[in-house]
Amino acid sequence: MRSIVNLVVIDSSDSLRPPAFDIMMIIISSLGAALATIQPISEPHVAARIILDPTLFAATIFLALRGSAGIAGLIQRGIMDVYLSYPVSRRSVFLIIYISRVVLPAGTLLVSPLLVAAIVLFPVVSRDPASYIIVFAAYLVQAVMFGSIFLLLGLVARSTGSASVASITVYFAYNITSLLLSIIGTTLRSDSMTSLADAMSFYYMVYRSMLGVEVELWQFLLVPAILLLVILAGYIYFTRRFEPR
Amino acid sequence: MEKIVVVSEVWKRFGKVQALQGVSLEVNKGAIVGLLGPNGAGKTTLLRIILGLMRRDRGLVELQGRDPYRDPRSRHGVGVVFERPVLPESLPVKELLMAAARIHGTSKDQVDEAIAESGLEGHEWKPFNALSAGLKQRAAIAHALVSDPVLLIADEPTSNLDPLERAKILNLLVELNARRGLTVLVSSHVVSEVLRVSQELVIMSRGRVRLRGPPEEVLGGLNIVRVRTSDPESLWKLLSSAGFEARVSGLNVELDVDGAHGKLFKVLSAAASQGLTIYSVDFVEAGLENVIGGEDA
Repeated sequence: MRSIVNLVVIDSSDSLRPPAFDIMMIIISSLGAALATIQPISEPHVAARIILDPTLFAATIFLALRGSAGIAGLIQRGIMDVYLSYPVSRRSVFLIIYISRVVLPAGTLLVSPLLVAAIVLFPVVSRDPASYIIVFAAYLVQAVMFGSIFLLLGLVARSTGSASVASITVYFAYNITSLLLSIIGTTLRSDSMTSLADAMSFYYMVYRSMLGVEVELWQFLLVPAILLLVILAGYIYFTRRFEPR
Repeated sequence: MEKIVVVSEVWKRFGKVQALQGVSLEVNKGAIVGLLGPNGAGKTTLLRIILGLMRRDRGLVELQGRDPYRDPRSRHGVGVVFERPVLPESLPVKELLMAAARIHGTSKDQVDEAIAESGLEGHEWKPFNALSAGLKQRAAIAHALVSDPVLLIADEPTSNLDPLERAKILNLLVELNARRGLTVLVSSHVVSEVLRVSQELVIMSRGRVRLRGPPEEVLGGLNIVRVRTSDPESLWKLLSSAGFEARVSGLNVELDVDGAHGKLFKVLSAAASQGLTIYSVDFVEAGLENVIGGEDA
């Protein structure tokens, strides 16, 4: 455990290194503060959604550009060799890079504007902080799902440019698919297509259920299932196939 | 004699390239073993397989009695210096070394000792990316030493360094071996460097171990040497004044060393420190031409 914590410290010094990460955090936090002040908001979960919608986009693009390329760069520069030469198992190294390249950046980028907004909107948020946090957790799951895909692409691509391009392509392909399903479903009045389009946004399912709209179980499970599958694929690839060259 | 590394009949293929072909090797505790061969001989691949960074296709590898690919405990007390000195860039080197020491389960004193031994004092609070090439290599060596190693694996530790820095790094390896009983497995494509430090020599080419044994035994039978240099006339003069009968042919100087390999490499080291560029040293004998070759400075 001590090895894992120390290696997370070492790797996050690289993954969260200034100035790019700091600048991004300041921009997103300012955005959170601006969104919290420019419109009247009466419910905590509505506040969370208004702030996190644009934040998720910015955080995901950041993860696609920095996270994925960061992993590829780690391999290209030979730092992965250093990590794997420690007396630490591959399982642990995978966990470490997952924490410092996906969970920590995604969590920090989402939580910072939310904290700023919570201060600005304290009277609203303090009425029901749990719902504010639940919406945050739902957005975090979505961001971590994208981050996990980008991590896998970074491990496989091994070149920073290819990793970034592949990640951005996958991100937009995912969102365009969701949008097309929604448009086609609405046009053809196909509930299954619109339901699938909605289910591709986990935070939207959580938000709708908080508004009292009925959400089917599979719609809740789609994004977490993709997340688990991607983590499993990354884990198997890294522990059984991956070789830094 | 206790064996710290055992490699037996190891094969490794990358796509169409057969990188290792039945390589066998043993490293005894306390020895300095030099792994010598031209670029592409398979030295780095072999070292990575010994460290467990890569899978082998076939064969057996034991590092401290364990399979390094499956058992990370095999890397306890193993320090590594990679060809390119790389460490995470933005942390001050000392902080990085402290974290690495905690990973290895060694103390803060070990960090201070590693900094002193590697000659990094005065630079330990700088981030890695602010260091010069020589200091980066020293930081990489300090990083290898914080594990309080029983074995140091160094993959071309002197590449990209100037002759003075090269000499310092090589002296450090010899010193650590003498003082701590540190086992060293060092690879290089530069003959003079490996000969200077090694008690045992392993010569590789095209993924195979060609020769193995004490340096004098390995090189004893190889007497016709061709040295490629930037200034053959000056080298010829140096060799002649050392008593060698040499002849110049283009950029090459050829000579019969007649068993005096140590003397030859002293002359070549002296020539290199005088600023002469030695491009390669080839043993021109019995199909072994180009077994050893490469760039020197």
